[in-house]
Amino acid sequence: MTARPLKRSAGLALVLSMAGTLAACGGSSGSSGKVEIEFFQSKSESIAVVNKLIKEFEQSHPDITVVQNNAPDALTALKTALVKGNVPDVIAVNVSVYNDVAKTNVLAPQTGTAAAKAVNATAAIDYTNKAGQTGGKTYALPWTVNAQVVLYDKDEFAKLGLSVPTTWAEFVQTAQKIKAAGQQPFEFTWKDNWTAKLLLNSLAGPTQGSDFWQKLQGGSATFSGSAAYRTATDRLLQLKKFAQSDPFGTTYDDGNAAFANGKSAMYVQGTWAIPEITAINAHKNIGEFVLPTGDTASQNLLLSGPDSVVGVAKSGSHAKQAQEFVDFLFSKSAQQEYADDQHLISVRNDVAPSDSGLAQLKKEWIDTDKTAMYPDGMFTGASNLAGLTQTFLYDGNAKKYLGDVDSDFGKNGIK
Amino acid sequence: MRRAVLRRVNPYWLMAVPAIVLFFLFHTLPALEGVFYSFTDSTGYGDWKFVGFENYVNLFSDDSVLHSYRFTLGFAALSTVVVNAISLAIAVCLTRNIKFRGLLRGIFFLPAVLATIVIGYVFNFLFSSGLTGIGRSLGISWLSDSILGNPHLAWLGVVLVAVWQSCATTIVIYMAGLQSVPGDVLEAATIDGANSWQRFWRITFPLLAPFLTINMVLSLKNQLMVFDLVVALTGGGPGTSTQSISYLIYHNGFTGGQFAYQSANAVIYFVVIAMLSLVQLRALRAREVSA
Repeated sequence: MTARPLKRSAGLALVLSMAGTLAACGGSSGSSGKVEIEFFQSKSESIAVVNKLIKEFEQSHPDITVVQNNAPDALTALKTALVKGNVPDVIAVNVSVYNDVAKTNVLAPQTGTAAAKAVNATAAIDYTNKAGQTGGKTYALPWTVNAQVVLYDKDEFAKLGLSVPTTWAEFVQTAQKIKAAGQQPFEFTWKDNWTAKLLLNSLAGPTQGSDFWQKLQGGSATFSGSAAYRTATDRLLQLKKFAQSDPFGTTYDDGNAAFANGKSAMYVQGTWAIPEITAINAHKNIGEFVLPTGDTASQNLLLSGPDSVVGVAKSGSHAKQAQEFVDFLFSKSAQQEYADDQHLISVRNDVAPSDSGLAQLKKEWIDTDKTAMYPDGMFTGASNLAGLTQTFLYDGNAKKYLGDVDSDFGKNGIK
Repeated sequence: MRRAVLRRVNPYWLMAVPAIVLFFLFHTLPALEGVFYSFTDSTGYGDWKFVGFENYVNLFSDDSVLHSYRFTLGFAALSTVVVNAISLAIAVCLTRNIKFRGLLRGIFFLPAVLATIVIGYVFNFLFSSGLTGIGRSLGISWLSDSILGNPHLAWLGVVLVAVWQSCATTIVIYMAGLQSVPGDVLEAATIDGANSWQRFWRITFPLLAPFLTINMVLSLKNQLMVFDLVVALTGGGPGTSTQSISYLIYHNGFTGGQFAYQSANAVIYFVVIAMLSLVQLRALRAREVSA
């Protein structure tokens, strides 16, 4: 589960989603016997590469035209379309809103399709099914998986003689050494509350235990009662001490720019931030390491989960063509092109990231199943986990925070 | 024949009916639909069933709803008072014979022609870069961090921008009011020996009462509905500290799948605003005088 459903400011999203809806009003069948299908996808940063993929698809399928419809505030735009009975033929949304989309019951099962067979990342499929509460059935496939890591400035690390930390204690020492050298250890971007949640994900995801969600659902565990979460709250406050001045006035975009321009040595983010950072500073020498939450290196886990999930509308008059397009998206060449462009990781085993850092992450962590899920994936879109975490980082009241998270899970947890 | 029919129909009807029909179709009907859905468990699409008053009952024990009411009411009350005090003062200055009066009037009206979302983003930048820069160079610690990132101060930031923006139209209405105060009454007061302070409080201000009424009611209503400013400045944060009722209805109603529940919230909110406006109108009307 990526933690970034509303990365762009909501206002912009509102305007764009309206534009998207307007665009969606166009007809759905072309003039010269061609079939036109609509591809609704919610990642604004992938518009260009998707257009390229569409062009390639249309070359091999001359009788099909694909129209891309991009809306950042995906759920609102999608609901507007659904209310009007205008279901897009192919839908790709952030996995964090998949629960709501699955409830609309508009998607066709993916089991047995060529696309489903191409996906090797079974953990990501299981996770998608769980997040959608589809009773173990697959209605959407993880397009790619992402990873949340610590991005670091390789040149700065080399200059200070630092090596990549592999335990929590080393991680804190590394930050201290950077601070002692007069540099900024971290750049935090807590004006955007999803990045506050992201830090919690990194700290609690690997330590909460793989059966924690089940225990929560069964009522035998709570956030307040979890030792892992109490430790995570301590660590959040510990990291806060290494923050730049005014972290609550810094946005995600500010943070990307600050890290790109060498203001901080480390930056806790998803791999999806890399293209945005290199867009600002193309020569930035970025490395990535797994945030070490363990006391020994073997306890560490990589936080990873499906990025977007892709499904096909069952009621569409062009469901067959739509499925052909989805099958294409999961073909080897399309997966390679899309994942490389977006700094994401393909769900196919035979597609290796061309970026050496990502390739290393995939080989060392994902292929060996040393991954943990995003804890915010246990909540629906109405959850206020991000806001609660932001408030906690500000006031430091752990007891109240975990109690609030418990009651939030009671209202908005996926049970 | 047809002409005769047309002539018999009151022209007022001919003018009013299209407006009534349009208003009903695009305003009343959707509103009634919202009321209808507030008694269901709909998420905005798909299957739904009636749940009676369940949504309404749950609203009263929902922390986020109660908090948004506290924030919005406090915010609206403070902004309304400040907006009207500042606007009246500026309007008095702008109706005097001062240099560059036309230019100044134009400048003070500028905020009204700018889109709220744009103003929000500009101020967002000012708060995070401009103000903090001043705070740091002067060594004022509470100003060194963006006040929008501070859960205890963020609402003040929203008030500040709301006041800056809403003054524009309020000033115009007060200026119209000031120009309608008859000169002979003021002259008579001057002859009776009243100084300018007395003239303002004893003559001008009472005669301005209808304008004060309309300005207070309009400002309060506008501030209660605050939405786009919150979107652009804080997104309801930090935490939920600046989550206004409209923002909560939009955010949880659409992205949170609480369509029916937030419709119930909207119905209650409509009743609250209507009642506040009525009370306000009654109280302020009671003290209106005419020259």
